Amino acid sequence: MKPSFPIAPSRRSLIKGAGGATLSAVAISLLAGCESMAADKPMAANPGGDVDILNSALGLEYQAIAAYQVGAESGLLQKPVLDLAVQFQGDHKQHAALLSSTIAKLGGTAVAAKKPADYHFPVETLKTQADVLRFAAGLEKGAASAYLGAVPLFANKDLAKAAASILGDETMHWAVLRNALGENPVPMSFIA
Amino acid sequence: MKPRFPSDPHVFAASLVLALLAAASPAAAQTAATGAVIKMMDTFEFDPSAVTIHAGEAVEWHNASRFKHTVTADPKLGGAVLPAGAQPFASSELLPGGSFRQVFAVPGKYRYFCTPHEGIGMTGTVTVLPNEPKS
Repeated sequence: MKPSFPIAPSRRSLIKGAGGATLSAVAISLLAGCESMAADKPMAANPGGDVDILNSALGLEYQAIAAYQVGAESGLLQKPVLDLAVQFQGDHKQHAALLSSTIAKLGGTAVAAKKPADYHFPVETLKTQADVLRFAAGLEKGAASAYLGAVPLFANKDLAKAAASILGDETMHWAVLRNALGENPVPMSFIA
Repeated sequence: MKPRFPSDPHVFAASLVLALLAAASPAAAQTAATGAVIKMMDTFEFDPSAVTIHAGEAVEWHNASRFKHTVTADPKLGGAVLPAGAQPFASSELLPGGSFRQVFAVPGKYRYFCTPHEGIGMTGTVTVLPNEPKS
């Protein structure tokens, strides 16, 4: 399945919305991974709490990276679905790198990825490409829900905005995976 | 203020029975021994994820995280598994600091999950052993 639209939007299009509104300098630097810009700005008023939330998110990104690795190595994914999975894994790697560097900027310690076996993925239930897609879709939906819960918790609004940006990406992944399964890609008006 | 009772004694009796029945389940939940306590974590995990209790005991879940979670054991809502004869159950959305308590009467293995976070592995099991015969 090859989507007819670019799955990963350019940073320019991400940063500048349809209404022409732009993200703040700190959010842009966070999203772009620009060390110097982010370091120059004051960060969270509640850095300890924000670090903990970022670490929760980072743990999920590591889980997603490991899950897509399982999917890619399963031998069940055929091109172009395999390419899509690798691309989504790449997105999660970018999220993880951004979260990890932001935690470091805030003076925190980033959590480490678990060993693949410690995620207890249901590998015994993955028998077909559809099984892998459904597993990945569930994971993306869960991640989107987790980011939805995280966004209002950040003391630093720029971090909330950056998390919302990742939330949007997870939701796009979920929709595309549902579409690949032949399901309604947008089954609801709101996510929970 | 004077309490207002139904004037018909049959209606009153029926109301009383219904009220007692309604109160029975929460009372049982309160008096059942707590067989296990499970925390809901910021890492989107139940801790511990697997517990074993005896029939008639309760399990308590405490949301120790910053996120909202649920305890859901309903096959219609996700990948829950219940032993034969057990009724599905589900908490409401638990805010940080919130808790939920469930008494397990039917022995067997229960698989439950957090509704929004099932996909990222927030699942757990409760194994309920038959009651030990009292000596």
